[in-house]
Amino acid sequence: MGTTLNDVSRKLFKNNRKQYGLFFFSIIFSIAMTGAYGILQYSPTIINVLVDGGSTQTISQAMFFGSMFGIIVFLVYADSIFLKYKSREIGIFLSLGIDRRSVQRIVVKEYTLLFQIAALLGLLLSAPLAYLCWTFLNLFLKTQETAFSIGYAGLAIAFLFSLLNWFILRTINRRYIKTVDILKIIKASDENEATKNGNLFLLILGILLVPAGIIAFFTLQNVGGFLNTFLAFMGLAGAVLAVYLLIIQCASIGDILKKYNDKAYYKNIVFYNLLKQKIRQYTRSIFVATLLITFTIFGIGFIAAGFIDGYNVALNESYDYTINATYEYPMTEKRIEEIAAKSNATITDIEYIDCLLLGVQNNYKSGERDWGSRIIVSEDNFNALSDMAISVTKGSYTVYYDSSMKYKLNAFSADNSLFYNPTTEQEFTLTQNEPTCRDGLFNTRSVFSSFLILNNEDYHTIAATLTNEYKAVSYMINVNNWQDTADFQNNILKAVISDNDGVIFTNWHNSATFAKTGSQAEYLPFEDNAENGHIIPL
Amino acid sequence: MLQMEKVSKTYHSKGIDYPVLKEITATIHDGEFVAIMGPSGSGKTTLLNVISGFISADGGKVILDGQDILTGEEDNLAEIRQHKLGFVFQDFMLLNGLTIRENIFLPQIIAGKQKSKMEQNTKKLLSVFGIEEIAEKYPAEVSGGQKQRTSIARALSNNPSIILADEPTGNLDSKSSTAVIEAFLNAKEKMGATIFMVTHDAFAASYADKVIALKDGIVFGELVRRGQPKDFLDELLDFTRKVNGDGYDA
Repeated sequence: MGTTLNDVSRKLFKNNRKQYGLFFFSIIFSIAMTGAYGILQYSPTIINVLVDGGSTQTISQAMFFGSMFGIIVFLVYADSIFLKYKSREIGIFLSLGIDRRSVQRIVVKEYTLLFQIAALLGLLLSAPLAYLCWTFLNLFLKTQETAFSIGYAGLAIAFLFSLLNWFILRTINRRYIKTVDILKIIKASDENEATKNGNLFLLILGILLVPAGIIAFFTLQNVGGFLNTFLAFMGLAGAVLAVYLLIIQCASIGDILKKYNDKAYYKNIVFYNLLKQKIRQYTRSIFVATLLITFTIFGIGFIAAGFIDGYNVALNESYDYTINATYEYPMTEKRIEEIAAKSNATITDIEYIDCLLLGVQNNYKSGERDWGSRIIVSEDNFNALSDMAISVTKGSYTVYYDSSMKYKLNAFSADNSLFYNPTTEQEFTLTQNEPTCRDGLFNTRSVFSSFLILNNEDYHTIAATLTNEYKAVSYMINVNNWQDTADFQNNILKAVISDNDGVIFTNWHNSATFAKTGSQAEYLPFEDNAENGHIIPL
Repeated sequence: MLQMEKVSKTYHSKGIDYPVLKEITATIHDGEFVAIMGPSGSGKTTLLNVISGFISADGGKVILDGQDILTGEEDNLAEIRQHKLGFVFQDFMLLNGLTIRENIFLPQIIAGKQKSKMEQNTKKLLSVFGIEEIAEKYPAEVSGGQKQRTSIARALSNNPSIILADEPTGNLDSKSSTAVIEAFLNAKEKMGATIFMVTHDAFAASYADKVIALKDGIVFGELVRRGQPKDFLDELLDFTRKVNGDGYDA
């Protein structure tokens, strides 16, 4: 060994590396998990599915950042293990006369080296770990949009996250060395840490704050607007802190019981005191475990609910198939019947409706506005399909919605709306009539879950100015034994894809307002997999 | 020389004051081997911690080589620990990742000594304390007595004004304890070391030049050794019986 403190430090690091193993692998694990999660969260595959600003996107991001918070707490706990091993050395250095600043330098240097190597390894392992998770998921999910892709934004977030953690732990380590009592290290006996007594008020607060925070999150983030979204996340943070509070109060439940029912307390005095001692010892790890388990269960439940809900909806939808085709690449009833015959599917009912796609300014209750594309139908076409007798005066519009889509009315909070013609690029205003609601007319998951009904004359006047890409026809079809019509589904899809030069225009329904929102058309190329009859994305 | 003048320390807890040291006055001359004894709670370890600078005092002075060490800032205390104080702890406090030789090097590295002087000094210390054979071993590979002798050698490596020892034989068997006491005597005789030792062990204290007895935070008395340790031990036991009555745990 050399004759400087650096030489001493290097030798100690080399000989003590087994002790740092746990801390080292904790960092690798944390950064790799964050990176893998981020890669998947921000991969184009997922982003294409999640609607911008939709509740699913907000919730999935909340889960991502919530998990990161849990990982920070985990790393702080892992760092306490590192400090536990270092404390002896720190005590010896201080007692031998090294000043605290120099000890800080020695320890932080060692810690930084450990952290940097581990974080780098974690980042490198993120992509393979993400790929592994994705491959595992694909054993259960068979959709056409499951190509693995790397979300580089997520990887960048993981990199920034590792920097943040390095800084947090460095601060904790420096503070520890600055304030540590040498005597405590030197004497180093097992002591019972003095803990605060339980408090009934805090227990009740924790019990109330958890659901309140969760409800606030789900309610406010649906309202929209920056302030409401901020408050929603504050509510979520409050719920998370309340979990921590609850764990501490549950650990000290004996103290609370002692105040109000000392007989019950003394009957199980050993149990309550062991509970307090043990749980307070592991509060942080219990908190992190609770948080991560909650997020996992929530995530699984949320996704499973989506699938179950989707299946139930599919069972109860009005039509078995909905086919939308623009006038650029028209589909006809005759072609549909030919494909059905070819696929051994029997059509029992076929309806169709013409529609337009226009831009409409959304007016929210909060006063915010933005642009969205809306399906427009004429009053005659609507009445023919629905057997209703809606009358829409010239210069006005009526919102139609299915009762499960009532939230769509949030965007129509004003007495009139500004419309935008994407072909002529002109704007015009129409006044709003009383909305009309009727269930079972259209499939709730199609573009017809809500649309606007215009006066016949207005409709035809506008239609005459629109190019074919903004005019469409929708066919709504019922078949016998829909569960056995996979061939029909695939053949229809092949036909539509073939008409569209091998691509699906995934955001056609937003295309009327590309000029307003700055968005671009997105196409998903498809290739026919001849071997198994499934169509997969390229 | 170490002079303690009316050193006082009171602990405060939940609104109650616990005076642990009540105006302790005592002097340790250069080259003296002094033991401090007393029942649990008498304040002997607190006194050692005050002298070490690990805790502050509420009043009084501790003058080491003409400097009051109680008035020093944290950086000054670090300097004093580097050059004027040497510590021997009950559980040795050696760095397990360094060899015996390197543990003795460590205070000298901190003090910035030249490599040749370090090696010369360390060689001498290894010889005085009979630990040359284990110089390249690690603390986990040697016995308790050898570890403590290493600890003493380390404490002496910068020729401090005084060695502060806190129950140095507390974790050792009788054979190792004897070896450690002999090491202290070697340090005193061959290196002129001044030693201040807190101990419960009357046998270890019997080798000291002087024993100071503490009781309830005050100096109850001092006993000076005039003859052999064996005779002094009998005197010591009588003396401590007088000091402690039924509260003394030897």
